[in-house]
Amino acid sequence: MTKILIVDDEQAIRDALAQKLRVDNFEVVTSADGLDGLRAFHTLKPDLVILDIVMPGQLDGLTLCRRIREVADTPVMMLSAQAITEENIIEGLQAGADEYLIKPIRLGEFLARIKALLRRSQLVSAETEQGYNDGYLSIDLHRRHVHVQGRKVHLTPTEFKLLAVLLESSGRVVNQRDLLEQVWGQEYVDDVYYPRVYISQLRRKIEPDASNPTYILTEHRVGYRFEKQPPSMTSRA
Amino acid sequence: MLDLRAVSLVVNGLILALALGIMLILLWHDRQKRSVQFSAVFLMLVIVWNSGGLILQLSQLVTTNAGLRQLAEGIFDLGLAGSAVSLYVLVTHMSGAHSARFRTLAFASLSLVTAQHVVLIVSSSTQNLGSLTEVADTADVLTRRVLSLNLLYFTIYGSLALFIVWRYRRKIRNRWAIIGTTIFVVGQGMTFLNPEIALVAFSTNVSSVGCLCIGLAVLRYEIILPLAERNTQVESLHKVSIAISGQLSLDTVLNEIATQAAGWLNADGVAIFLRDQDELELVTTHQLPAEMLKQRARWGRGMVGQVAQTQRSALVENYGRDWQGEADLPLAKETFGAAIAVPLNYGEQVTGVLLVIAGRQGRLFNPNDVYLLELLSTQAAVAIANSRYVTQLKELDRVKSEMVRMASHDLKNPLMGAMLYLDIARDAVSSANLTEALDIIDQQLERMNRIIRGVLDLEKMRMLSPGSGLCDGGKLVVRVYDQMIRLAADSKIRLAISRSQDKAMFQGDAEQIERALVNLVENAIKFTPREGEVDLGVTVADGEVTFIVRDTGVGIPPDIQALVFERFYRGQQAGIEHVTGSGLGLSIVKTVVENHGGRVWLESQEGRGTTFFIALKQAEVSQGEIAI
Repeated sequence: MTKILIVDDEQAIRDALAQKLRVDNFEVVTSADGLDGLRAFHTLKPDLVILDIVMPGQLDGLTLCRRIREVADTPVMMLSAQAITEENIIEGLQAGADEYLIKPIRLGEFLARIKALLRRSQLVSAETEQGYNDGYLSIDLHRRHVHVQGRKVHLTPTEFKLLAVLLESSGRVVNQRDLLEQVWGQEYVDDVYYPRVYISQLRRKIEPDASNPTYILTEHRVGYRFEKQPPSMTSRA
Repeated sequence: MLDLRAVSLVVNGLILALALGIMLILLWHDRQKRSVQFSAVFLMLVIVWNSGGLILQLSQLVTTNAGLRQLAEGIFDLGLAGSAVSLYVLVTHMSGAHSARFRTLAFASLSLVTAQHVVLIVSSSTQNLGSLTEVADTADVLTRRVLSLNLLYFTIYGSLALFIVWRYRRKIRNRWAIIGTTIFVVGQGMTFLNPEIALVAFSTNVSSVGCLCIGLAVLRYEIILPLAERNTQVESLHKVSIAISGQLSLDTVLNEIATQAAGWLNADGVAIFLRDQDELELVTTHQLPAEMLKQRARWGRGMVGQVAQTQRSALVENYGRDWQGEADLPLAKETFGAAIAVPLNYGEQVTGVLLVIAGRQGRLFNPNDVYLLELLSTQAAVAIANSRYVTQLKELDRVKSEMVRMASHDLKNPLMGAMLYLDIARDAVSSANLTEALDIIDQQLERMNRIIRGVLDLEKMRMLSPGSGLCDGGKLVVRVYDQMIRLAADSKIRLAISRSQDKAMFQGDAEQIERALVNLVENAIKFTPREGEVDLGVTVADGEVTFIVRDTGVGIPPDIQALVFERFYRGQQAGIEHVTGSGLGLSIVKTVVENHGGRVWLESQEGRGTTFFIALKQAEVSQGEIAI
């Protein structure tokens, strides 16, 4: 049974979400603040975490998300009542969240998003046994491993899914809309800033020089393209 | 000899007429001023002296009447002694080297000299009245006179005057006054060298030239220079106004004011104090040690403190000598010469004090300088008040934004809680009545949500910069059309689109303008009955890109057309009862358009429809630029 951790200081929201998720056969654990949430995360190892951003105590949602990202790739969904600008959302995504929802959100949409997020992280494991290795960068789609210069790199489920989609179409441009649809799902096609944030994070993790990318190239106003490099790339190491 | 005397007489007469003219001009200009009063007295006594000499010479030329000659000599003596004394008084006043009761003393001594001579004249006239006795030797008479008190007066006051103009030449700041004084004293001295009438004539000529120089110097100082400076002052005021209206920082404006004040008054230092509760803090200095900054002056103490308390300007000619109160700055009494302090008044409030000082060897200030500084101080007070208001407004705006965020956060959480439980309840309820009730609750919750979102959107639009991307109005209307076509179809409204042939390019943030257009089209659809029409178009004319959203809806009554852009305004007329919304859509449109420096307006006829216009400045398109 999929285990979901909800960290939110609003009891009504916590309880309602938990109740709905339980009805849908999820195992749910709840925490009322960041510190308690982090403890629960370490002890219970949930499959998905739902985080509120503004919470009392020392650990807010953003910090908690970063702490989780230090040790795990568990999908994280953020719920915020505070976001005003796109920058607020980007800040959340950069902290490592896979999903950023603005309160209030209705149960139906919430559940759909949870399922999409889980699908995203699980689908990857079922991908074909395709992979890539040029000596500098190696990607094992089956085992969900990415190595740069032999060193293992942690990718979040969304980042990994994004990389996998780009790799499958390597050499061809994948436009924004397709990317959103394939990585995030049908219901995300209008959230244009998602790819931008994730591409830049991916580049930071796998490119030799993130400001002059060689693997993930931007096709201005169209989309992105994964470019395989000759094996001689090893010489760069 | 006769010819020379005649020439001398004519020259003297002309010079005196000129001096008299100057005196009249000065008195006409401002007879309240001490320098004018002193110079008038001086010029008058010189005229008296010269008239005496003139009559003396005439009497020698035309008549031998001893009585007339004695009267002439009396007048001559009075003028000679009086002018020596009054010259001393004048230069002492010009140099500022006088003490506090100087005016009284000066008038007292002048009156004494005059009285003494009048008595002498009257007594000698009485003795000789009607007498036609010839005076055989004119030289004798003169010798007698010369040896009298006149030499004493001349020696004391003439040399004092010379000493003062030399000692305080920097303060007098007037070369012609110094030259004139020197010529005048030398001229008077010549009278005593050889007591011949010819020499007397010559000496009065020389002194008249000196007197003319002094008269001109006073004229220049009192009338010509202030007029000439008016230009510079206007220019300075202009600079200060620009600094203020340019919304430069308070520091920059105060520095500009200090610099202009120093330049205007040829001052050696300027300090601007700002009020901080019951103290005054030195915030700007010009040509004063930087260590003085942050010095504090106590309210009511020191010159600055007193000026702030009384709200009246103060002028001291010698800070060390005349200022009896607490020193305003360290070593002020030892180093300051003249000083002016002017309050910076805004309304009833004193916001600070402008202090302008001259060094001990620096120039003297006069009431005209105080007047000039008051002009500057008004500007400074406005700048200070502006800056304080701007700071307060910014703080208020920050607090307001913070409040909006907090309130929205605090409202969204309970709202979401309610919505979630409503959804749960809906799953569990099957009764038709209850479902209807839940629908109503749902609608109300959604309405609350729209209002909160509207407030946040408005806040977001206000915070966003308009952006400088190149946007294509044509593409924009297509995007808006794509977004709205479903809503239009659901509402049975025909949505049409029209685009101009020209490229409708403008600078800005395409997303924000798109949002504004979406709001307008959404509104148009909402307020148009079924089977109506909504047109969305863009035209280019007169350097403007104009978006037009026209509907065949209920229209807006003329009396509320001006109100529709206001926050939370919602129309109440018949036919729109079913329309829901936050009441913020149009105020978001207005905010976005104003952020872009554009205009938004509407034309409407009740029952026939409304047209909204958004006009933005058309952008020049260079090759290679890509529009969004």
